Amino acid sequence: MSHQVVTASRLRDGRAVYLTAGKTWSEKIAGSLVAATEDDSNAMLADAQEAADARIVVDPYLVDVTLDDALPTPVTMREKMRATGPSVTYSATQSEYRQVA
Amino acid sequence: MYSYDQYDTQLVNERVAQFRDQVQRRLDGRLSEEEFRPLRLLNGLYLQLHAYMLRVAVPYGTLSSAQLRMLAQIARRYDRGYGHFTTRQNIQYNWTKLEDAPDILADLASVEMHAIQTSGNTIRNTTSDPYAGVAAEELEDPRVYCEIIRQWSTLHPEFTFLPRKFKIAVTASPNDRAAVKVHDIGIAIRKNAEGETGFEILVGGGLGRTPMVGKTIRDFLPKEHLLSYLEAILRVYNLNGRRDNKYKARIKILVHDLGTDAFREQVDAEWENLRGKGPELPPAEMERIRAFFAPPEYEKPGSNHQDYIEKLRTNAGFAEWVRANVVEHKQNGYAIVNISLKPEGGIPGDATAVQMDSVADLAEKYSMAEIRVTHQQNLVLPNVRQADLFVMWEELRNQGLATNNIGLISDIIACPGLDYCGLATARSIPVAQRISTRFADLKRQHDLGELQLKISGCINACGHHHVGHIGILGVDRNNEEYYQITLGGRADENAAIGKIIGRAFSSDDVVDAVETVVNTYVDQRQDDERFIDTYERIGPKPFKEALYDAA
Repeated sequence: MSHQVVTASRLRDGRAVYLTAGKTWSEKIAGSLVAATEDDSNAMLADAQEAADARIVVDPYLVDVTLDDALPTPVTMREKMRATGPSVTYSATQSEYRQVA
Repeated sequence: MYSYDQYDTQLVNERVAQFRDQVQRRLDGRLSEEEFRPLRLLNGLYLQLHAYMLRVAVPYGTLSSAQLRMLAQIARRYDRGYGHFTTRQNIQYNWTKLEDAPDILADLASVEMHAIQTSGNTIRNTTSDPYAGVAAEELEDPRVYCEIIRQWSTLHPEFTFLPRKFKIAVTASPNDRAAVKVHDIGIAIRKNAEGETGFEILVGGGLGRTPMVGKTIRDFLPKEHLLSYLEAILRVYNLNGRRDNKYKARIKILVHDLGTDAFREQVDAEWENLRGKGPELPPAEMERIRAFFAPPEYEKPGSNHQDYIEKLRTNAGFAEWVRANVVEHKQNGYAIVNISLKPEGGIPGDATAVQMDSVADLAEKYSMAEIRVTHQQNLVLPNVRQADLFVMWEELRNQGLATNNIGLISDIIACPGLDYCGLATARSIPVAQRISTRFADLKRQHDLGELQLKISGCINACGHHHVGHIGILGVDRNNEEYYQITLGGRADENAAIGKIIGRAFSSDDVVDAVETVVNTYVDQRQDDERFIDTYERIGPKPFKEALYDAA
C-alpha cells in the first residue's frame, strides 16, 4: 500500500491539520505521522476519531502520500492544494494584511 | 434602498442569538458535527479546503456605503483583509473561524445584513440587474419585486428543505444583465398590449452538470399574483423534485422530465388553489415597498458639465475608461460607473478591505452612498454626476480600481476553484490570472471587443463556463489539471449553452489554446462582429481546425 497521513479540519477555526506522532495536530503536513501499513493507518484513524469525539477536529480521513526525502507529499491535486495552497497570492492584499495584522 | 422594519430587525437579531447558541453547543459538545452541519449551512458557513468560508447575502446586489464599510471591517477583523464577490452578487470570506461566526453575524445585523439562506437547499439570494433603477432602457425598478421575494422567501416554513438549492433572478430590461434564463426561476418584467407591466416567468434554467436554458411557462403574470404563482411553482417542485439523487434534484430536471407543458399544467392546477387566497400582494404593500426604491432627487446638469466634455476630448486615458466602464444613465447628466475587480493578473472578484473602504467613500461622495455588486464579480456606482467622473476616475486610479476592461476578455468570471473550494477538481484562479496577463495589452483587448470568458474549476459550474463566449472547465486527469474549452455560450437575453470544442488542454497549453481561438476570430470576423457573432455565423469548425489540425 502507499503511505498515508491523516488530515482533518480543526473545529474552532476550520484550518486543515495533520495528525502528528505525538497525537497532536499540525498545520504543516511536514510534521505529520506517516503510516506504511494498513494497521498503522487504522490505528491513526482511530486516534483521529478520538480527537474528533473530543471536539478538536472535524471529519478526519486518510490521505495517500509519496515520500520525498521522508517529506510526505499528497498524491491528488486536491490534497496537494489542501496541504500547500492556496497557490495564489490573494491579491495585493497579502502584504497589506500583514501590515494590519 | 430598503431599510429594515421591526420584523426584519427582530428576525435577524433572533437568528444571530440562535446561531450563537448553536455554535456554543457545538463547541461544548452538546451538538455533534452531524447535528451541527445543517445548522451552520443555514447560516452560510461552509467548511472548505483550508478554513470555514462565510457567504454573506447582498440582497439583489445593492449595498449602502455603511454596509460596504462593514464588509471591509469584517475582512480586516475576522479574515485576512479581503473578500471575494461572487456570481450571485454575494461576498465570501475565505478564512473565518467558527468561534467568530456569531460575532460576524452580529456585526452584519447591525447594518441590516445577514447570511441566512446563502447555503442549504433553500431559496437563495434573489439576484437582479446591477443597473436596476438607473438603466436607461428598463421598464421599472426590479428591486421592488426582489425585496418582496426576499421577504416572502426568508425562513418560509414550507421551503426550508427543498430537494435542492433554488435561485431566482429578476430583470426589467430588454438587455438581460441578470442571466435570468439560467436560473431556477427567471422573472422578466414585460409590458403587455394594454401597456401594463407584469412578469414573464421562466423556469428550469441552470448550469451545473446538466446545463439548461429556462423555459417560459407564463408570458404575462399580473403583478398582484407574483407570490401566489411563485408559491405554486415552489410547491410543485418541493413535492415532485427528486430527492434520491442530488445531481437530478434541481427544478430543471423536473421541468425537463415532465415537459414544459405538463409542468405548467401542474403549476396552474396548484395556482388555482392559491390564487386570491395565498400570499397575494395587496397594492398598498407593493406601494410601501416601492417607496423605498423611489428615484433620488437628481440635479440638472450644471455649468461644469462642459468641463467633462472637455476632459473627454483632451485626456485619452479618461476617455478610454469612460468608453469601457461608464454606461448611459436614465437621467441626463448622470452616469453608471463600473468598477472592475479584474486588474491585470488579479483574482477575479477579490477586493481588499482598503479597496472596499475607498469604494464606500467614493460612493458616499459621488454616488448617493449606493453601490451595486454585479454577477460579473465587479462593482457599480449607479448614480454619478457626469461632472464628477473625472475626479472620481483619478481617485479610482490611486486605488488600482480604474482598469478599463468591462466586458473585455480580461473581465473574467472565475470560481474560487481548487485554491479554496472543497468540491473543485482543478484550479481556476491561476488560469484566469495567466489569461489576464497574456491579454494585458488593453489596446488589443479593445480591438477584440466584447468577449466573455468564464472559468469553472469543476462541473458544478460556479464560474458559469457553459455560458461564456469562451468557457473553460477544469478537470482532473490522473491527478493532473486539464481544461476543456467550450465556445458559443451566452448568458444574455439570447442565452445559449456553449459546446465543447474538442479534447482538453493541459494547464501549460490552455492559455495558448485560448489565444488560438481568439486569433481565429480575428482572422474570420467581418466588420464590427463581436466574437459571439462570428462564432454564430461560422460555427465551431474553423476554431476546431485551428486548435487541433496543426498538432
